[in-house]
Amino acid sequence: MKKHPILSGMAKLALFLLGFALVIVFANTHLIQTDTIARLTISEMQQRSDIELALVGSSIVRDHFNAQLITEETGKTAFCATVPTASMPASIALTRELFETNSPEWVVLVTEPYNFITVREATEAQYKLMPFLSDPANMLDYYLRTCKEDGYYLDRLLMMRGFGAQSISDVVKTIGLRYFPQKMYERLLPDMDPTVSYQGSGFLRHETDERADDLIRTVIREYTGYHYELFDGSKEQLEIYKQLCEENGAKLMVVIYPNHTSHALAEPGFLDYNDSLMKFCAGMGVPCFNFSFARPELMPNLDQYFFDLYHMVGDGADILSRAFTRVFNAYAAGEDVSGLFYENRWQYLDSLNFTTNCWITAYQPGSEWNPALEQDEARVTDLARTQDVFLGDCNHYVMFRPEYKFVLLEQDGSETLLQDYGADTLYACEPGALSGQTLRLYARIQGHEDSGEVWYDLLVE
Amino acid sequence: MSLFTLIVFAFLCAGLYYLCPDRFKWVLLLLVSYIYYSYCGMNALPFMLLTTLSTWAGALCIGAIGEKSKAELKARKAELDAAGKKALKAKAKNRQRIVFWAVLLLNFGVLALLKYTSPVLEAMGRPALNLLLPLGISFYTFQSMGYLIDVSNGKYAPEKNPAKFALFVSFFPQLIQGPIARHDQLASQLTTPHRFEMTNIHRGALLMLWGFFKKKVIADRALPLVNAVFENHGEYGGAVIVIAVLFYSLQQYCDFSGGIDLVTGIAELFGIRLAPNFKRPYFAISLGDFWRRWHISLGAWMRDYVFYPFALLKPVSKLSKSAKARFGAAFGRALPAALGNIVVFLLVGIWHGATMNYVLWGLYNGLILAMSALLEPLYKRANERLGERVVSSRAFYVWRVLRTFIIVNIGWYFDRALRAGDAFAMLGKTFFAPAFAQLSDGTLLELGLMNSDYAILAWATLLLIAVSVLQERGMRIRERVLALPVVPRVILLYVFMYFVLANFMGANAANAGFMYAIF
Repeated sequence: MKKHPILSGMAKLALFLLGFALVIVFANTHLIQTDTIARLTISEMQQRSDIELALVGSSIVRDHFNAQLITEETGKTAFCATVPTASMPASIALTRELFETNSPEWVVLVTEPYNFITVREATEAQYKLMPFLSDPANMLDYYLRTCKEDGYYLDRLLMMRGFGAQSISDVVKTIGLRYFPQKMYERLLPDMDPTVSYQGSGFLRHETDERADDLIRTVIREYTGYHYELFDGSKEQLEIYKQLCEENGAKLMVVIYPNHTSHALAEPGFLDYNDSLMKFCAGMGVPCFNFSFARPELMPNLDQYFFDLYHMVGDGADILSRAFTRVFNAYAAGEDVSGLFYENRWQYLDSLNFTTNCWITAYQPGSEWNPALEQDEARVTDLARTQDVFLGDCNHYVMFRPEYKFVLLEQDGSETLLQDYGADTLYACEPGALSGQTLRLYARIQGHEDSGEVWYDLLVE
Repeated sequence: MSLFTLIVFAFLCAGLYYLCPDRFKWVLLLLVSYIYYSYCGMNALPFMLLTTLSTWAGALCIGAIGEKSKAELKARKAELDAAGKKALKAKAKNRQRIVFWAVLLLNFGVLALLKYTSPVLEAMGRPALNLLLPLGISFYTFQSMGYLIDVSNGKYAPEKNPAKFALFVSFFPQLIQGPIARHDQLASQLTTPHRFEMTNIHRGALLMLWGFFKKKVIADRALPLVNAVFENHGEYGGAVIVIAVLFYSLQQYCDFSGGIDLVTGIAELFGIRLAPNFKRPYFAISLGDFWRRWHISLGAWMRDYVFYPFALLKPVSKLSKSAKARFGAAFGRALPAALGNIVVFLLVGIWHGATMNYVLWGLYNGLILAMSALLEPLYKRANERLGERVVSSRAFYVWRVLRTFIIVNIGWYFDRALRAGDAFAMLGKTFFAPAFAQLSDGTLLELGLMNSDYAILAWATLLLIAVSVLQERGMRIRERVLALPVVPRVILLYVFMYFVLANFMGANAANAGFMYAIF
């Protein structure tokens, strides 16, 4: 039979491109970087078939839910199925993978505000999860689901571009973790951060002395770009998730992770998001518990256990895990657990009688006025004509009034009082009087002097 | 249209082209060209239509006047004496000239209006107008006017079919940034139906891949550093500025020639061969040689339609004669060429932009070329003194290449600087305030590139140089690659494709489209 030139040419071209597609698949699975703990978790999950209670989510779940402790206190074999930076698409794909070998009675989807501020999912989550999914259909569904939202078809297809191995040791690590995860982990362990240990069942314990106080002081007030909404796309994915659990005979529970108090104070939208999510879950008939609203008798405030803005050390994880098991056991037993939580945001906010952080704004004459400042604009602009003006500010709830103390921080660390608490919310001085010196601001809530004070240092230009 | 969309569009069109019956193939090309152009901006379409229709009608009119005059001459051959014939010819020539200049002024007028109104207003301290600059307007205007001049000179007959002429003006790969084709070389290729040949697909795809590599891996990666330094040159010493100029050399070449490779490759998918526009210009041994290797189609256009007509002008011939008498035969002979080069490069400078830095850049090139033409006898004598062995040695060749490279790069200061004053300031720093410490104090990592970017650029540039050296030695790389046995060929292509895919700059990188698309 005579060969048709166009058809045979196209067939050759297709074969050539197919071959290249295989090269890309190989690169995406063997020549990329691998997240050690994410790989260990997925590998362990794939090898187990005894999981009865699965907690699914991002690194928040990995770091904050002590699976062994939960297993002991609930009597159900618990597992934290997690991928760092995962959002709903990764949670769906990961849960599908979970159902490949396990039939859990309960699936607890743990959300944080950052899961739902956008329908999109960070590309970082994809390279940590997708190469290790066992079902190509799940892989394709996950890929298309993420691309549909952000349109990064090419970037997500060519993962080796953004997350390619940077060295031979990266390649060795990736291949080792792919085929011999436990052995490779043991080899990598001596060089890993000694304050972190993988405890099995997807739980990662942090034992560091670092705390978030300093970070919060300088960072938290700068958040401006988040829009806390429960998007239609997020709702759609939650419904898919619910259906997935139902199809596999698992009961679904949604848990809203307790974010650091400073987030609640600095970003009131976070509370709106919580309300929307709880309302939507109620509409779907899915139990949803907001641990931000946990009463002290259920769980004390966990701020002191945060080592960064989002993650907690092991002790904090134990406290949260105990609080979770208490709620879970009671709910599973059919008890009313509503008394363990504040009824609404107003009750919750009313309980916050402290500030989490404060800062100083050196007022620049002529600059745009920030309406969130508590000082009077006319007074400040008037003062700024002849003096340098420093404005005190802090995260606090409107029912409480803060008060400020301004001190000069000497080089030896001692302090010289410039203006005591209660005098004013701003400090004004002769132009240039503080140039090159460090001005420190203390803040506390009026009438709650024993609730502690926070401080902030400004090197005056 | 993004580069990826263009590539997919090109392959789809090529597929349709080969499925289309032969007699409709050129119609399909016209259709997809207009679809492409409309997709890039519907509001630019009237400008292209204006050029197409005015040039087509103008050329037809010029041809008709000529034909009519010939017919009249033939009919009245017996009754007309020599003076009468001459008068009849002159009358026809005058009428042709009127049409010719009307069409020429209309088209270059539109181009000038859209391109120069705002810069001129800005120079006068008035607010700029937000005028549309249609994609590829310079290229299709130059191409159309070249055709008009050729028809007017009787080089070939005008195209009667307006649709066929519209295809010549609008062939979609060319619209982005040329090359500026000649009607007698391109038009028949466009309207002749081409049969499917896998070799064309292979060759075209390979060239497109190479162009994509130059544009996306090299040019777009080098761009942030170039922008950072040229737009804030006050912060950097001469050493960093030299690096930025070298990066600009690389970026500009890879952007423009990469784009040309891409469009040439796309044309080859359809079996159409476009004239080469670059011939490894940084291997040039003189500035004249450089301009015969860089943007060849513009150079040839300027040579045929500006340089020669200017050099043959009566006043120039007169000047040449009087210079011969006063300064010698060699000087007199070289003078028209010298003046022609100054005029041509002044125009090329203005074509780049109506700001002083471009004018100075054009003058710089024109003056050097003029000096080279005038001093050629001196060079000849100097070379004779050096001897054949030295002049033909590899070291001498390298010296000439390096010398040319430096001359070209000094010109780039003016080409890339935002203002003429900036170019002078940067040149001053290059020679008198190098600030070498900035090469090692981390400054280079604050210019939008990370260590990995420098490494990728280094590897990619080495590959580019290696391929260029082989091509310069006469090796036809594409043919050699396509002639390799299947396994090594596929491995080679996979490795290269992987390198390109792993390292190209994505759509969200700080890059715009092709630099010359806005010319």
